[in-house]
Amino acid sequence: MALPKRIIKETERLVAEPVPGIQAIPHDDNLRYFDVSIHGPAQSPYEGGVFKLELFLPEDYPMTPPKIRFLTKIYHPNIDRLGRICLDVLKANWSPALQIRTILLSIQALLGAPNPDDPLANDVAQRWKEDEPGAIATAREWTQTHAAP
Amino acid sequence: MATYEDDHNLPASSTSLKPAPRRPRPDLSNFFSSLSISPSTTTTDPTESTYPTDQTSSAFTSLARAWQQSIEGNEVLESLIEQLIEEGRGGAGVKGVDQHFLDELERVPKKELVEADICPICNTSFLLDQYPLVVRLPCHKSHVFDLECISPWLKLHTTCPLDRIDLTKKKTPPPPPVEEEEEEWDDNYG
Repeated sequence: MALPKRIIKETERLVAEPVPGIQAIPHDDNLRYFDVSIHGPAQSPYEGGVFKLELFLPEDYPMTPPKIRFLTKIYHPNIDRLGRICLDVLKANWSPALQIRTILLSIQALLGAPNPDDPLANDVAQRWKEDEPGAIATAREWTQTHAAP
Repeated sequence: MATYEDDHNLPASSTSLKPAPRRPRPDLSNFFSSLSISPSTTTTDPTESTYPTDQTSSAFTSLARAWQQSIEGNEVLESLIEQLIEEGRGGAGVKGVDQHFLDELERVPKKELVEADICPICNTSFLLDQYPLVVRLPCHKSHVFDLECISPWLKLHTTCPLDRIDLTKKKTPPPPPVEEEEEEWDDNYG
């Protein structure tokens, strides 16, 4: 089936005007599947790390949100060990006016502002609330171990 | 009755190599045909105002029926089927506006549009279309969309894509005041 114009336009813009610290490259054989990398934001435990994600645009995109998952292991209260992300705009708060670009920016912002009160990874969120310095230290270690560029 | 294995002193286990009778495959033709007229299909035909709820529900139901025939004793599948039947019954999760709401949306005439105006959903200038069919949502005067783009969204959701305001709430008029007009007493009667 032909790729909707919107996806073509989004892809062209992602390549022509990339967001700083974010890269999204479509697969040659499937233009709905993107290899994504996000740089950990400065002043966060993820600083210095480059995190790989996979992004897939379902058939009914943009009426339904893209499916996104972290491939790089990450210690974060809103990302579980399978890399699934707990982020409102990826689920109930999705809107067809959002784009790949805005969603990836939201994910980058989530790295800078973990929200342990709305957890996906329960044990991580628990630790984040009980021992924040310890949790941040673990997140930093994991970044060095798993997300080294 | 003596089997082949008995006659030849073979271990009985070799019978298990016989392929199990194939389960009938679920007939998915109904499901896929009901999907082919998914809510993303835009139509201006007002007679089709019954979907999306009914259509999605019937798709769930037909999927459930198709699978029901092909399984026996598989708990996971059985619970999935129950769930599908449940969804089909209630049409849960599908809460959009009806065709009437879409028909009533304010149209934006072509002469009001400029080249830089783009639809937030398809990101294309309205004027690229020689006969643009553009509508304005009641939440804000700048919230304009191609009717073709906003229709599939509003058939499944009642919110504006730009500000998430529930458009049905704003449109619902307050309940009319209960008229307590008492019947006139007719003292000539009785």
